[in-house]
Amino acid sequence: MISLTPKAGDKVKEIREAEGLGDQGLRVRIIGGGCSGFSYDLFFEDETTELDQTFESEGVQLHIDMMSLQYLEGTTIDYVEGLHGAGFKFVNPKAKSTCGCGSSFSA
Amino acid sequence: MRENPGSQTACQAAVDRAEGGSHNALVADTTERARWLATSAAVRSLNDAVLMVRGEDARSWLAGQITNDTHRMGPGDAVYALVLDARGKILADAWVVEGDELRLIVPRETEALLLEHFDKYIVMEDVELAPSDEAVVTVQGPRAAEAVEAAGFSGAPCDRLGAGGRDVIVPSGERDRALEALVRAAEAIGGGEVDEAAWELARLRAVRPRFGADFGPANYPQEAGLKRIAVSFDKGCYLGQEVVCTLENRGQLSRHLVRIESDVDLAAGLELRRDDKVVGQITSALRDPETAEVLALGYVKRASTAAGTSLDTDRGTCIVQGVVDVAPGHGDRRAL
Repeated sequence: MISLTPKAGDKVKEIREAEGLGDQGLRVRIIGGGCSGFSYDLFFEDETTELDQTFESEGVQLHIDMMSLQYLEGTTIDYVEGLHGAGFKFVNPKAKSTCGCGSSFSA
Repeated sequence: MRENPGSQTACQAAVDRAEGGSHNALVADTTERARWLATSAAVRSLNDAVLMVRGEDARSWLAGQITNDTHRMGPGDAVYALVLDARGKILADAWVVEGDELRLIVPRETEALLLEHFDKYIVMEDVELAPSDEAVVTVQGPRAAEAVEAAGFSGAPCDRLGAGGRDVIVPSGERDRALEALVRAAEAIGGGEVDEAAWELARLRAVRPRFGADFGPANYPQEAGLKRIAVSFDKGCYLGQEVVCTLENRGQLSRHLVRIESDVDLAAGLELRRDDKVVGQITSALRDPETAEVLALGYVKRASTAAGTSLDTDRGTCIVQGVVDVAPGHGDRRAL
C-alpha cells in the first residue's frame, strides 16, 4: 500500500486541473540509477497492465508495477515547500539511505 | 688460459654469452615494441569481456550507472567511464562503445560482478544485459587508425594509453584472423604486435593507471587521477555520484596516486615510509630498460605527495614525481 498525504493529494489535483488532465491517475515507479542506486519517478498516466496494482489515496488513483511495489511498500508521498525549493517527497520505510536531494535511495 | 672448446667451462661460457645475448635482444625487443605504442601502431589481443546492453531504455538506464556522459554518443563513438558502488568506490572501468549495438568492454575479472551488480538496478526498464561471445584486439599508437583501416576494420576510438588507439571487436572465433590482419597492417607502417612487457613499459612511461593494479574497489575516481578522462560533472545522476561530487566540491582526498622514480628495484605491495611512518604503498613498478630508471605508481598520503618528496622502502629510497592526473589524450572522446 502506498499513499499520498493530504497536501500531496491537493497538489496532484491542482497540477492535474492546470494541465487539463481530468481524473488521470498517477504512475509511481522506481527506476534503476541515481546517486544511491534507485530513483523515484512520478507522472500522470491511466494505462495499466496486469503487472500493476492500483491504490486510491486522497481521491487519486496510484498505479504501481509489481517490481516497483517491492521497493515502495508502505511509502507515503508528501509535498513539501521550503527555502530550498518545493516538490514531492517520498517517505519510504524500505529505503536504507537517501541521497541529499531525496530523489534517489538505496534498498 | 685458453679454454679447451670441449670443456665444461667453455660450454658454460658459451651458454652465458648466448643467454646474455638473448637477454639483451629481449630487452631491445621490449624497448622497441614499447616505442611502437608511442610512435606507430602496436597490436595486442586483450582478455577483456564484452557486455551487450540492449533494449528501448538501454541508453538512459546506462547513463544512470556510469560516471561519464554518453548522451551525445553516436555510431562509432567510444567513451571511457567508471562503474561505482553507492559509496563512490570503483567497481570497474569500462569502455562504452556505440556500434551496431551498445557494448561495454570491461576487465574480464569484473564480468560476473558487473552482471550481478547491474541486474540489481534493472527494475521495470526495457534493458537486457548479456555477455557477448566476442573478442577485443586493440591497436594503440598515433597511427592506430591507419593500421585498423588498412586491415579492413573501423574499430572504436578507445585511446588506452593517451597516444590514440582503436579497439576492434570481433566474434571470438575470428580473433586469430583479425589479430593476424592487424599485425600485418601495423608492421607495414613500422609497428607490430606487443606483449605484456612492452605494454606495461609503455603504460608506465605514459603514466596510465590500470584497473586491478593501480585502482579498484578501495579507490575513489579522484584518488586514482581519473576524473578528467572518466567523470562528467555536468551529467545527471549516476550511482555513487553524490560522494564523487561532494569530494570534488567540498572534500579533500586523504591519499593520491603518485608517480615515483627510483634507482632501486621497486615492486607492487612495497610499503612507502617517511620519517619511519608508513605513508603509502607501491601499486605498479618496473625498470625502464632504456634509461635504467625504475618507474612506479603508488598511493601516498596527501602530506607526502609533493614532487621531490623522498620516501623510504625496504629496498632503498625513491622520489615522488607528482600526483597522477590523467589528461585526455588526443584520441580520447570524453567530451563529445
